[in-house]
Amino acid sequence: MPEAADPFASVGYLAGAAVVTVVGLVGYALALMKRYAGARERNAALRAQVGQAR
Amino acid sequence: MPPFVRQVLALLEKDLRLELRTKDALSAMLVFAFLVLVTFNFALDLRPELMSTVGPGVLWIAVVFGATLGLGRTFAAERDQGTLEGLLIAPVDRSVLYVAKFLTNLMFMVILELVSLPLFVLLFNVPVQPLPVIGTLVLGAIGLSAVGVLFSAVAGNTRAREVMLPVLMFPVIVPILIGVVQAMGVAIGNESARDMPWISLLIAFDAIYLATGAIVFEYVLEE
Amino acid sequence: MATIRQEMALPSATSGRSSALTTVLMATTVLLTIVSLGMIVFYAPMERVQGVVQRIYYFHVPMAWVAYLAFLVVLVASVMYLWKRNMKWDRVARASVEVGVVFTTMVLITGMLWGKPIWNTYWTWDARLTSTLVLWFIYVAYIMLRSYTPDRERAARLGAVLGIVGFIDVPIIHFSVTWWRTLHPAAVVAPTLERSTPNAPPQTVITLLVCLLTMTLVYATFMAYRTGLERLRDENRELEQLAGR
Repeated sequence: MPEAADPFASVGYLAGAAVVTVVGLVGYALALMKRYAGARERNAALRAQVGQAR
Repeated sequence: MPPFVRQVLALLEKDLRLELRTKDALSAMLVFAFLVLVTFNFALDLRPELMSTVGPGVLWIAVVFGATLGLGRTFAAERDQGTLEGLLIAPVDRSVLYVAKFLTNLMFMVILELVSLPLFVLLFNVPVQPLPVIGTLVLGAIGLSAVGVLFSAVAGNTRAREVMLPVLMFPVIVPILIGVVQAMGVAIGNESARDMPWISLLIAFDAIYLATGAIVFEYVLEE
Repeated sequence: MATIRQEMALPSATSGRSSALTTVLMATTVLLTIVSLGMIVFYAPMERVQGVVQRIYYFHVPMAWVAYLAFLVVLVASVMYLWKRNMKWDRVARASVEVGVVFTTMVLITGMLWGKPIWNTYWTWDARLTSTLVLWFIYVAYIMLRSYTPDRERAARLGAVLGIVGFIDVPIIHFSVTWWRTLHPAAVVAPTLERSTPNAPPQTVITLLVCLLTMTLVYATFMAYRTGLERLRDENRELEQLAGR
């Protein structure tokens, strides 16, 4: 078990995996919230527009 | 003869007669499979001693690529000529269409395999036990056709028809791929593959794919 | 602060209720995440053979479970859509596929980062990694298919078919790949806890379960937002038509 035996490298991979996971999941969450907010804005704008037309 | 069988045979006859006249689907499949076999010769260093392990895969990949060509066209011609609407309006169960297309493509694939196998043996000088190998190839074709006809109808609805069929099909047919190559390996003298009942597994996979396909097919062509 | 709260408050996918429930969900998720991280770092025992790196297990495995859960949800939503033809089911399916693919991708990446220090290779065609990769392809194909299908109803229908066929295929793929691998063992097998320690100490199991729960809540939170997003998008599309564009 070459690199796992080396504590430096070992922690490095663990940290790397943790970072990837956090960045991946949190990043996705943030992007998702942004998309959601954008859709809500658009929704409000459209409702106003349609409301006016009537 | 129950109406289901009669309808399936009618559709089958129509497709086969059409193909007999033009022969463009079959010829395209055969030429392409042949070409893939030849390409493998350049892509891989296929020494005789490797052929028993690598050979089945080479042959099956060539068959899959050729078969995909035929599958891609199976609904395309109908759609282009507008005969599909006619079929859909007729008071015929969707599963009739599925079974008919399945059998048509199965037939084409078996012809493809019956031509590709001797080509393969010739090009790569591989000793094979023809009957077990052909049996395995047919079992593989059954699974391929079952999945391929379903996805051809699915993909045919989309803008990028030619891209989506392989992308949809190839992951789903991984078990067939594994089963066929392993089962063929036994017939081409690769002893280790013998430990699992690959033929029985292939039959089971085929049954599942066919049953699933027949059930969900009606949802694909609802227009 | 007000805008952030506005951004985060959301109706559910099916009704217009502004959801305090979702806020509670999110708060619980965040809290549990902190607890899990603490447990992974401090509470979980050191694994004899693999050392520190083994702790990747505590997020790699839960994410794999959640990915399968996500695709199971897709199956259920697909069947429900074909049965009831209510768009809300299609929204759930769409959302769960995307979230599922995100988790599957993370499983593959963390699996690779776990494998490298243990077995000196990033990728190995062992049964679990290979099955996961095939799974990834199936649901990426789902996303591609829908993007190529402009008609909403047809896209929902075809998606449902694919959602059903894909999940039925999951056990078949898993078994065939596993049997293939028993015959031709990979040169390297992806690390797992079960193989190296048949009797895992209770702290391991507890940590794993907590992480599993956390990850499931993360999934639920993602789903709440994601289905809400789909609902908004569907509504926007209708509104756009009404507005005469």
